[in-house]
Amino acid sequence: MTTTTELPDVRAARDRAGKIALLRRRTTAYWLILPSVLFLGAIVFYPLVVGLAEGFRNHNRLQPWLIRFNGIDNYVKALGDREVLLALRTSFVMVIGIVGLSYLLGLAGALVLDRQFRGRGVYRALILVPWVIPPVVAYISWQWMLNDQSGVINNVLLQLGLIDHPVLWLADPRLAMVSLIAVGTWSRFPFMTITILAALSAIDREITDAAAIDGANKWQIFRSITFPMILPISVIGTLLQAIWTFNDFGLPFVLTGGGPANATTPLILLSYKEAFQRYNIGYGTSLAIISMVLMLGLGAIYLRMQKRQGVYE
Amino acid sequence: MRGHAAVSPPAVRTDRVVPGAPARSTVVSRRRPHAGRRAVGLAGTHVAMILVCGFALAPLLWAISSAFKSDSEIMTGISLVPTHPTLDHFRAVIAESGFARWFLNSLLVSVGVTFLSIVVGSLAGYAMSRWRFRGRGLYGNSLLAVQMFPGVMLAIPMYLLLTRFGLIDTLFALLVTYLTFALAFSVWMLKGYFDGIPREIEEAALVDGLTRLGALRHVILPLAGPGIVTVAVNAFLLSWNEFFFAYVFLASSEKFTLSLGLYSFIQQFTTQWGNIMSAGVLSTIPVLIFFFALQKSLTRGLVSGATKG
Amino acid sequence: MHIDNDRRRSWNRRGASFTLALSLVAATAACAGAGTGGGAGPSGGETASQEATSTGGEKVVLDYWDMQWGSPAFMNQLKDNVKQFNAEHPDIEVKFQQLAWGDYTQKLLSAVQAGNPPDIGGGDSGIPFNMDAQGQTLDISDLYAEWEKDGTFADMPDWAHEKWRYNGKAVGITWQFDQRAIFYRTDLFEAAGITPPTTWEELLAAAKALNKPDEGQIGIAFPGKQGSYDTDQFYMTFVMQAGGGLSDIDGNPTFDTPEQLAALKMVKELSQYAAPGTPSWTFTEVLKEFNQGKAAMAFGGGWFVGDIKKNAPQLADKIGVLPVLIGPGGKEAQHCVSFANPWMIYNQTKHPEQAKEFLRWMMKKENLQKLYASEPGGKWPVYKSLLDDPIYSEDPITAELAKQVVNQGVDYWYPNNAGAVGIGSMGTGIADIIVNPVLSGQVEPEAALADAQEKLGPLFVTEK
Repeated sequence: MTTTTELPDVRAARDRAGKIALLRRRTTAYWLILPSVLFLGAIVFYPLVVGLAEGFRNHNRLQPWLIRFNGIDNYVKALGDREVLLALRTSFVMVIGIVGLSYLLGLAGALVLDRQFRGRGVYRALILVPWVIPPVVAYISWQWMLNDQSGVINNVLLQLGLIDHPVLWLADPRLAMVSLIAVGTWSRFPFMTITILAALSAIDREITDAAAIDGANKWQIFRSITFPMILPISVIGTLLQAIWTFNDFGLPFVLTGGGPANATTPLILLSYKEAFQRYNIGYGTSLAIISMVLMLGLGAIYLRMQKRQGVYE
Repeated sequence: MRGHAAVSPPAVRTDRVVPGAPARSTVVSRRRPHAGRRAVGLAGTHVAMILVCGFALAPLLWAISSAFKSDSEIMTGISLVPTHPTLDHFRAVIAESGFARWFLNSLLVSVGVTFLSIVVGSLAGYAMSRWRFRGRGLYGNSLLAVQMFPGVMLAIPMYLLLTRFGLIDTLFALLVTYLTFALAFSVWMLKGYFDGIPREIEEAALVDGLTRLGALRHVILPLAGPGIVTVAVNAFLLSWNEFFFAYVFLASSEKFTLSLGLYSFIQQFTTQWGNIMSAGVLSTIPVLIFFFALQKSLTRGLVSGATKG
Repeated sequence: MHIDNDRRRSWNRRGASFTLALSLVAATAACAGAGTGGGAGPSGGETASQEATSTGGEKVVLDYWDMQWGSPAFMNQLKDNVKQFNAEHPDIEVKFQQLAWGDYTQKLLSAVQAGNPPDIGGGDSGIPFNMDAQGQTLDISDLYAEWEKDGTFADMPDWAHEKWRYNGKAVGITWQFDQRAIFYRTDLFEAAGITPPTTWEELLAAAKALNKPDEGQIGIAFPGKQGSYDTDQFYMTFVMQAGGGLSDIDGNPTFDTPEQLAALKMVKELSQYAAPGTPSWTFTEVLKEFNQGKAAMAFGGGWFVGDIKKNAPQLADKIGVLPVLIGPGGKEAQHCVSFANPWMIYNQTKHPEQAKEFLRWMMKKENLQKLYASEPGGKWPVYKSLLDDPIYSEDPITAELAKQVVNQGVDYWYPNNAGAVGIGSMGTGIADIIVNPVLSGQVEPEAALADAQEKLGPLFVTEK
């Protein structure tokens, strides 16, 4: 490494020129994103196109003699179907409930775990359990724990005298929704915790400590320093989590089967049932596309709202 | 480091901000008088964490309890603690089922996906963070948009596509599929993390003679430790627990991943509850232990930073 | 070091090649680490044909896919049977592949579409019809003629083979039955002075008398969860006993009929004497309740017996099976639900003769007997003569169940399999649209059935 004895300002100018030149080298950027583009193209693009095309066909896998192109008939049918509109509402309630609660819980957990204290590592590992545990085991366990007659939750509540007859956690339409949101939150908050924790650890303590010395209390520090700095990752984290929750049919499918009486059937479950249980791939896909278009629209609005916060900077 | 913070508040100089390097020592000494409040705060912290962890652990505790119970007690008993603990299920799972094979398959796929998501994700995240290239917005949005289409809908076209190329019933097919789905989070997370690392640091590295990629590898990535850990955890768990595509793509039982293996305990009518719970426990604990070790080492060692003088 | 154009270019080249190299290395590493290379899928058909044509007389390879019908013991016996067949037929090799219980139909459909279905396949009791509707089944009428002649069919309940006559062909053959019945606690009935019911009215009365929620006892336990196949089986039992079914002789759906209405109302009345959480129950919850001694009656199947003996032995001698009930349909409709599970041969097979040989062999009484014996009480025989076998006749409950299956069991495709296409594509439609909404009090029976007629009706369309 050679060092020159140039004058400082000459060196600065040269550095600046170099930086600008580097920035101009956009082709490097294209090379860097090439691998991911290749994967996306090869794996997702073709099936996606084929999948999307299904939405415009009348296609029941068990009635292949009826396959034909039917334009937007599927969509017209879907938007006029009471069941579909109910499923849409259920999806929204579920997503907002689960993502909102898991974010709040995750944020609280991350703020606590960000501090140095003994045993922190153990808690950090234990909090991952809902994420690590195989879903089938988790769903079976929750189902058993929530059962009205033999579930441990009701048994404990009865013994403690908090209730006098069993609560129908999964059999009452409204309570089933509550249970679903609770289990969904349970399974997704570790992701939020870890993501926010990573963002928090990038915040320089000097800043917050300086503010504390300046007389700011915890809430002010959080609001003016901490939160803005974790906002970009919070936005992306919640957006992705909302997308994943919206598309997750496994949880309602196993826990409640979508019931009772369709009370917990989000749109994705309806789409799955149509496509995979009634073999109506055409109609099922059109429901999936409706949900995708919705997500695209809402996602765009959501990101635009946060644009100033530096997500795209 | 700066000197003791005496009277004037320390100025926040952005050119010296290094992520994660604590500068507490001097400031703490001024907080002695509140030691009592801190003790209460600490107790409160522990209580809060115990509650949250209790919530997180409940189903696992139930699964562990069931894993040690006889089938009879699982069906008839309602207590958390097994009255006559038995190791039968663990023995059945380890010795008589394909558990070891499933574990190995899952491990292969998950580690592969994790490694590749970090590599591919950091390359792309770096590009997104440091360059304003044409199509940047489109690329970033496409990553998100692709996530929006339900994976299950892609399963059948993918099955047909993979069959045509003879890739059906291979772990490779799973690996590239999971990688694709893990990319959105990897790229965006690392981009966000890189955004928080000032360009001056890599400019300094470049001036010092490192190549662009060398700078990425030796300077930036170490600073992005927590971001990388998060991406790794996400990619690993996505692959470890995924069921649907594994079910569609795999056929031979020696290629089964853990999630498929667990499902094989579900028979037509009965499910081998004890076995599925013990297999589930055996799938969870090693991963937890690994993540515990991983977190401690990565977030401590690498965050001490590359302060430039 | 200062930055100049040469360096910039070399970074770029380096960057590019590095990225490319990395991707290739990663890909190769992944390939190597993935265990086996590609193409190890079910392509037995193609390889077999190549082998057969290139070296006439070489081994013919057949693919046989079947589900996880039972315990590991049962599956091992199945695999052993296959091995024995292979040993006895040196010119044929059958490769067995196990399907899991999620979406096996989708998998079969995809395989059919991709051109590589198995040669012989198992499936639920409706798959051969749906496959035939797409022209994918091989007609085994010649095997039927054989079995008529050599007395095999005489030893079977008629329905076990008549069911599979469809579109002028024989599309499959039954190899085992499933069984559903209502179990009851003999001691609880005795203590309350009630005789086991034989009709619908008596069932209601018994359930009412034995339903004591304050003492933690429920009258009858049955499944009602949405999205579960368990739920529709309880309902269909009553539909059959009311003299109804899912389709008429022309294949039109018959949801909106008096028979189904009667059955639905019966189920709704019975739910008053069941657990309030029934809309979230599957067979698992029912069995748990029965095992814990908290249910006076329980709707379940053959596997209940083994389970109770193992998990609640103190109850084992206190249980009985209700006779098949008589409902509004009278004695002609005295049926219980019993699925006839089939084997079929796929049309795309390149070796029909060998596939038929395999089927012939697997259906032989002594070979099926080995399968049944590996899980006593789990699988019910298609051969009436096997009823005398100790595994069925020793235990009184098993004997009763076996008798019911063989003499009174039918499934959804009886008596009119003309509606097979629709019946096979409903998924959990009956549970979701008819039973669960009524059980949870959200929909009235008449409305639920009208809804079903409207929503599930289109699935029965077979006009091309």
